[in-house]
Amino acid sequence: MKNFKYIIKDPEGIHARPATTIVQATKKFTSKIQLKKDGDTVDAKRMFGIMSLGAKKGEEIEFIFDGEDEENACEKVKAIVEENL
Amino acid sequence: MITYQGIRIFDGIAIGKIKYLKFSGEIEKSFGKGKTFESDRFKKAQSSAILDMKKVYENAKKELSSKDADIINAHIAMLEDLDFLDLVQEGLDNNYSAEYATFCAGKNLSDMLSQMDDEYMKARASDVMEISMKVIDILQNNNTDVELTEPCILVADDIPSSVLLKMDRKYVRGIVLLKTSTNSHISILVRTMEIPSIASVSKTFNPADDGAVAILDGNKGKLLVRYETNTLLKYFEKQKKYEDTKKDLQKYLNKKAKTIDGKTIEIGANISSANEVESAKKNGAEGIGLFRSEFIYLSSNNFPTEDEQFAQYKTVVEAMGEKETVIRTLDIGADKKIGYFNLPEENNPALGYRSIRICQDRTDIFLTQLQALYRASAFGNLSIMIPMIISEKEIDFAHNMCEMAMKNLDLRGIKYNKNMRVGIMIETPSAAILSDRFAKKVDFFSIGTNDLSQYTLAIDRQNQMLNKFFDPRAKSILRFIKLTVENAHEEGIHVAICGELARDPKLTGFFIKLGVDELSVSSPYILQLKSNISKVDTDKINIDDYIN
Repeated sequence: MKNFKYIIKDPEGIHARPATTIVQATKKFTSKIQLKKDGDTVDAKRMFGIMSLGAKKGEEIEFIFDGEDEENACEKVKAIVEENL
Repeated sequence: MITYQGIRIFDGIAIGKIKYLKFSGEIEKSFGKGKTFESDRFKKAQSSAILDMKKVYENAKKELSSKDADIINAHIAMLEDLDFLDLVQEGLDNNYSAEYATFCAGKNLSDMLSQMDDEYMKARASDVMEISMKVIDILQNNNTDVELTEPCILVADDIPSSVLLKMDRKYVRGIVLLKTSTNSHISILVRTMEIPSIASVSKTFNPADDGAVAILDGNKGKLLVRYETNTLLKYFEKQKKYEDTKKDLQKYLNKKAKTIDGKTIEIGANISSANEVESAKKNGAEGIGLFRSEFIYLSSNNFPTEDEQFAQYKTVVEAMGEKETVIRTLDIGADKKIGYFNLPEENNPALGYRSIRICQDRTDIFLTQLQALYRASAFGNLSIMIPMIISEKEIDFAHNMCEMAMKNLDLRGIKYNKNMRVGIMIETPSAAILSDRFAKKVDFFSIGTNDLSQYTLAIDRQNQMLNKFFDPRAKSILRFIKLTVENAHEEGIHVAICGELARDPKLTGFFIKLGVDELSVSSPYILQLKSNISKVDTDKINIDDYIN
């Protein structure tokens, strides 16, 4: 299992556009990828799930990867999150 | 003549044939011809919708900003989303038809979004419905491609943004969105495209008017059908004049307003929602002179939370950057009543329970707003102003509340601008008379001429019977303005005029001669005002002619 935490810097939080970007990235991997905020956990391959977190600027989110390509997935998703959020 | 009265989205005059468009609404519950059959139908419709939207996306990228085009990209992602597909599958498992399963999935997700405590997410609810309806239209073979072959005025309850983006817009002269608010996504898009348009039409559209040649008067928010020939001739002239003037006025866009003898004055914009900022900037506003915050309360069904307000204020402040934004705190009561405030009926509402008076009783509401404003102050150049002030005691009250808002934010560890300017509206005779004392206590004045004139002349502006007695340039009003400007400058504070009177061409010279620092008007009037100023020679203005 791999994971990373990130504090959102985008002033608009995870709105529709970054949610789209995240899903387009996570879908490429076979690993199970989860996104956590506070007590809520959602599937990071599902856009509406991600949007339902309502994550805002300054809040901490955590990505958790579990599966064969977890190493690679963690690295790639982290880069995309850092660039877009 | 038939008049459909609505609210302006974008001004301008359009003349053309009405093209009435109908898009599907509710889908009734129906069962399909077997799970596999309906599932196949859905899959085909879904892929054809995606293919179609990818084309729209490629075209949109060429014409719009990437931010606007990315909305379509998000729509595509929604259609491919596993949550959406699972919900459709759930419907298909219940033996629903592909149409009804799609409708339920869209409805389910849009309900989820509209219940979120986040303005942005709430607004996405209509996007989910839009993509669901798109799949349904394909399933039902509804032709949503609008083919235009001649200039026309589009009339519809609502138009999906992807449909509008796909249209040949050189033929779209005007747009009437019968049942859409001026803040909806489609209205914003139409405004960006600068198409003469109106929304929220009160009268039901008569389908018999489809195909009739109509006149759309964006400035007045009207659609006219079955008019007389001379009305048309009048509008042809108006339209030509409007277009010519508009072109001519562009030369003032990036120029500072300056008189013949070289005097300058700042020009701000009056706005009522965050969506109007772009139009203010496009018209050359040097700042936002008045943001009427009460419209955030008017468009809500309950007291807007601190976060909701903060999001709106921040959008405006960030969009204006270094340029100043002046937000007026809550000004309701009188002609602006809101159900959830539970305000009592009054015999004399103009002289009644309104704005700062309500805030003094309901400090919780005022404090929430001030906290949202202070939070937004960290993101740009923000000032706030308090309306309806009549005494120093009220100024002290406002300052104390500001202190409290700052303390609360300190406790929460939230950053803000400790030196945010706090000004007041001068809109009561009491404030004008006491402006020498008030000027020592506040950072700036803004003269609200609409209320100042109704209170000075004791004429209720809502009572049309009194119109003939009303003189907006009454000497008493102009004397009050002179007094206020002189008292402000005595203390070295900035003074603006933000009421209707600010754009009165007959007073432009008077205001500049007095030394008013700023005039703030609705965005569409900015360039005209700059042009009027360029024709003023203050050497030829005599203050006495106006007040004696």
